[in-house]
Amino acid sequence: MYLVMTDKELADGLIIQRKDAIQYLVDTYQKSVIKTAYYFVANMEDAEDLSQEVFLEIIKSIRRYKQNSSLHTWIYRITVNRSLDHLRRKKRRIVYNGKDNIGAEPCVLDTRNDDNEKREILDTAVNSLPENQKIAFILNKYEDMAYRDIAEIMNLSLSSVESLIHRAKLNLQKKLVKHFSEYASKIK
Amino acid sequence: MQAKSNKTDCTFIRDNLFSYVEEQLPEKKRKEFEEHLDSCKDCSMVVSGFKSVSSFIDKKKSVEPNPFTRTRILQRIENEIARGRNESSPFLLRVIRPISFSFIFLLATAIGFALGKQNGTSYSNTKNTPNEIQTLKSELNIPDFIDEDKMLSDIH
Repeated sequence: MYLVMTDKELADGLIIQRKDAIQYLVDTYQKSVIKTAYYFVANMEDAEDLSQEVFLEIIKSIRRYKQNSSLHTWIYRITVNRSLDHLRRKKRRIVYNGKDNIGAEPCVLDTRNDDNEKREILDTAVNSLPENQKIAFILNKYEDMAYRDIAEIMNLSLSSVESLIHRAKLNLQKKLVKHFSEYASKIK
Repeated sequence: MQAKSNKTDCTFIRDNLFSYVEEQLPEKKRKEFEEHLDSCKDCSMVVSGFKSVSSFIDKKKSVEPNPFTRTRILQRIENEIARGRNESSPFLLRVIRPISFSFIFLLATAIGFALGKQNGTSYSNTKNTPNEIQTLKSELNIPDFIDEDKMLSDIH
């Protein structure tokens, strides 16, 4: 039993589906995988279900992991992709059912809103961002991830990531200001 | 909008909400920003709402996953691995199995034909020629034609 495994030891263990390697993988990454998925899908149950899919994919495709990047980055990439797939499927279902609220303008805010409403407003605004801006913003603001790491996960240059985050903030500001301005003009 | 009582206008406030909340504004700009908020109710409401929503990012960060999720993840992985082991490999399923079945079928058919042929030969060998039949008839005193009426009257 390993106390600490290097990325290579872990990857080798996962290739032959060794039990201690699988346990080590889940113990080490489950929290970050679930939380990252949660930041994207905004629902803890969905995030926990998604985490199972992520770990299965890691084990199935571990042979494709190239050891010149960190396993952590590779796992983040799988988590982000799975989460975005989930959002796309959800969006298709909503559009099919005629209830497309994703990307719609957020409802008028009341500054006395409770946490659920605040969360909904924030999630709706973040979800309405273009996909790349959303990924960069979530990894930076929610995960406190450095631009360099985001660039590695997204396969982009550092300057592209900086630009994406800047544009994401401007877009969010615009959307949220619109909310609050509407509310301010309503209570006048 | 209310009358601007200082140099900073509403557009500056609305364009710099993140910088203000993240304390990225230079000291001088920050002061101007706050002075404007004191004099503009609309901007003050916008900033207050923006702060309350953006503070929710930190609240989301503090969410903890269900402690039982680990067990569920490990169980799911174990099930999938067991299922994968029980299933034959795709190569075996797609190639070797049909070939084996075809070979067994052809072999069984060939064996059937061979056995049938062998039985057919032995039957023809046992067939009596007309001369042999005649000999047998004379040995057993069997007439060439049997008069059924006569046989019946003899019996009665």
